[in-house]
Amino acid sequence: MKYLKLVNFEINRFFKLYMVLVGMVIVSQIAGVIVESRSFIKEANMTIRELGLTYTSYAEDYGSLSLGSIMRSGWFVLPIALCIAGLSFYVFFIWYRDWFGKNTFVYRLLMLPTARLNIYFAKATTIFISVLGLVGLQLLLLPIENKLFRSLVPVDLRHDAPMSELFTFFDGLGIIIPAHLSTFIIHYGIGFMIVFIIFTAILFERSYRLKGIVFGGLYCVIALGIFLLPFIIVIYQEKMYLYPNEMFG
Amino acid sequence: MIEVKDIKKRFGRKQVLRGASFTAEKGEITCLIGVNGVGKTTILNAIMALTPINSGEILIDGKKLTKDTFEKITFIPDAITMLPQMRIADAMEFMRDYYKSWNQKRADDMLGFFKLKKEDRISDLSKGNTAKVNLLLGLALDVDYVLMDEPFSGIDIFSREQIAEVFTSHLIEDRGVIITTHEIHDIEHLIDKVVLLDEGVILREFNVEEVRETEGKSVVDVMREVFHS
Amino acid sequence: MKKYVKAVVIALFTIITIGTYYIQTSFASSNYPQFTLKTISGDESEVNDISVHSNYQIKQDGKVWLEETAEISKTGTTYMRDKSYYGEMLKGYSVNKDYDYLMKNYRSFMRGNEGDPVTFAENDHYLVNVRIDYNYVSGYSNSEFTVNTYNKKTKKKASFTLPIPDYTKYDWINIQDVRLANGKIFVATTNEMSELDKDGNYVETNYEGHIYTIDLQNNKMLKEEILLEKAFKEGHVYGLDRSILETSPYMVLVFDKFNATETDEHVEDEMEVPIQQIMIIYNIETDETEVLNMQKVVKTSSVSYESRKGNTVFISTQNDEKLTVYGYDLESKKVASKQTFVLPKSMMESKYVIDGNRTFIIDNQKKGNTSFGTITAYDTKTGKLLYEGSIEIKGNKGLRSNEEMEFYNINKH
Repeated sequence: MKYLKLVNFEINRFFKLYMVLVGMVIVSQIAGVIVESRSFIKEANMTIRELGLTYTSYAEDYGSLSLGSIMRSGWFVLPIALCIAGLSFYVFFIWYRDWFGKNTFVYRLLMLPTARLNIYFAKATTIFISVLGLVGLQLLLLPIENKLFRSLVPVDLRHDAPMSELFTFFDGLGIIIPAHLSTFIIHYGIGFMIVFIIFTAILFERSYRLKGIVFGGLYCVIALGIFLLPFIIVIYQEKMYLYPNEMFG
Repeated sequence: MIEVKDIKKRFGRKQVLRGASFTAEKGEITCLIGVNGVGKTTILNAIMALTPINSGEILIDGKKLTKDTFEKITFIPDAITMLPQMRIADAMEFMRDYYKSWNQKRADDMLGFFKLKKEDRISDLSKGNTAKVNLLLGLALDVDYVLMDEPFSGIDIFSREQIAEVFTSHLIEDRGVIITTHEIHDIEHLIDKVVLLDEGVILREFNVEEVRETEGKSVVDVMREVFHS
Repeated sequence: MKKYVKAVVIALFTIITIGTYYIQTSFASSNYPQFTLKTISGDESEVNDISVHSNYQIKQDGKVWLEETAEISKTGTTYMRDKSYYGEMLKGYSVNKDYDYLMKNYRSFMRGNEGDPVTFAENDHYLVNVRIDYNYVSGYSNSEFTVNTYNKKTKKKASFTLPIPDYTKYDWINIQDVRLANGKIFVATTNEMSELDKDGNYVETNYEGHIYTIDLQNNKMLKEEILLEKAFKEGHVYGLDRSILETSPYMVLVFDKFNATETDEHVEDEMEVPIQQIMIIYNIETDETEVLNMQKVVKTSSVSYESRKGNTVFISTQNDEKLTVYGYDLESKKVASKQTFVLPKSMMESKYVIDGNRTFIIDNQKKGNTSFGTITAYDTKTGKLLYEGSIEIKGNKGLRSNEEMEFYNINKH
């Protein structure tokens, strides 16, 4: 299976950069939990000593700490944003890197005794696996961070939330990790469709250069147009020509 | 036999190939000669389907190129087509992974002949050694046809000699080779057939031996005749 | 195989983490408290289409920390976040029983023909829809009716347009009801027009009730009848919804008039009392019009229109916790029934819903740990108690101290 070999090859090429993203997410989020918890406890202890309060009365007067509030901080949001930016960049770079420099590796790829479509799909698969891998990482990290948070902050000073509620804390996570599998499939289906459209546009540009940029741009507009057609009709006609469940068809 | 039939290619407004036709036989070294920018590399790219042509046809053993053709024909461009961060061993493994026609014994032989070290990174190699690895990766494939784009350009004299030596060895025997060059001296004695190219058309296609016997002219003589007329 | 380790590990990791998460979420029941209706007495089927619209909150340090809307019905509690948005969407809309009926039976005709079900009318031969198309892209115009027809026998769709007489006089024309009888389409509308002073400044809005009669065979406007010319200034006008599944020869328009000058600077939150309330009844078979002063009919200062069922219009008056419901019979032109119900003090508002012959009342008085209130269903005409149920939380622990469940209103679907 040359396709699988190519997928493996592409993943290996991306692996270092990918591990940087993974490492950044883990380090930043874990550090965030530790730093934010510590500083909260430090502040609480100071106030408690000054005013002679108990943990419980402090929590009542000044509020308690929840993992949710840490998750809204830059410690969480920034690495996620960077991952999104990094992967978006790589959607383009995964192709253009093969043309860069003197070593035009794309010659080798195009001369492999396999269907060239396999290269296209291998690169797409690499993007998909990378995206889903980071989603999986976040899913794995959250319960770990929750445990860590519980071990750092005394029970009277913290507010615990059930796991499923952690995902509702900020809107971004709701899109990245929706509550329902069907929503998940639709979100990522749309995302991957966009990746395919961009890939095709890149290949237009690579094959026909300047003319290809025009073609590629046109292709994107048409592809998105077809995709959004049901919605455009609704807006312009003020009528629902399609029933809602047909919109996706 | 590789048959190039009346191929035309335009880059924007520039007509690079204006109907070029020639053939290259198996077991012969065919040399595409012309000044820079005359369309030599474009022809090789076209044979390998690396660039779309506007019209014309290219047949390899009477058939159009498919994915399986890449097990029968290989192309050695003027720059190496491997990732610079790869070691020579990685590059060979990559080739073995994807090509059924990869011949590891031959690759090892060439490695020894060129005095290359498997552990070396491609990005650390000298120009000459890079060209040798490039050649190795192409020639270690058991293919019928080899296309080489300017194998001697920008390489030191010792490397040239080593590479030229390859052409007389069993590594080339029985294969069909198409080689491009803008400079004939290094290989004049090696080649069987010459195709003279200028401004996108074939000016002359001739057999070196034949011309020498019947007209008593060397390749350079014919070139002078054709290009200066 | 060793060199495939990275790819295999990433792929497996992805499948396992995401897979586990969604398997867990699909099996795990909601973390939120589950409520259901428990029958105390009567027939449980009375509350088949009833749900309580509620709001669930978790509070933390006096602040709302998490908030979810929920629907409590006989079958349990549905929280918004537990619903899959697309899943709901894929099921299609189910806003209204009439609409469901139309979509189910005339799917092709209804395509692109969404709109208020009152703009549809059906008899044995035809289904018709009358609309006034406003094009928001090119600027609106209300110059013509578009009549879409569907012949049930030949299964043919047709469409024609008719200019609206004197349309330039009106700012806005709203279709309130559409009926079919004797090969004619009757369209009841309320028309709005601005009254201007000599200098062209806006003074107030006038309302008129119109009946347009259209010949279905010849696609012609037969006549336009003005039921009430410039009837009201500064008021509310509306039609009373009737179900497409019911046949009744009466079209009903309702006008409430308010004191124009005072409304400009009226005190907020204070219920305005209409100075005049009129109900116009038009009989499509006899072409007769009846204008009723509702305040006189039920001898009160203000009435609320609740719903309509067949030939009965239900109206109500409210006095403290006493709700009096009158059933006005359009045929005999008499108040045919009068019942008084006691509303609970505990709920702030939206304590009841009258769906024709049934009156549902909700009380949010807690009893013990598990009962958060009751729902009662009465026969609107006879006042007979048909059902009583308790809104119960599952388990016997009740809510935690930082949780709250508030009932907003009671819905009939």
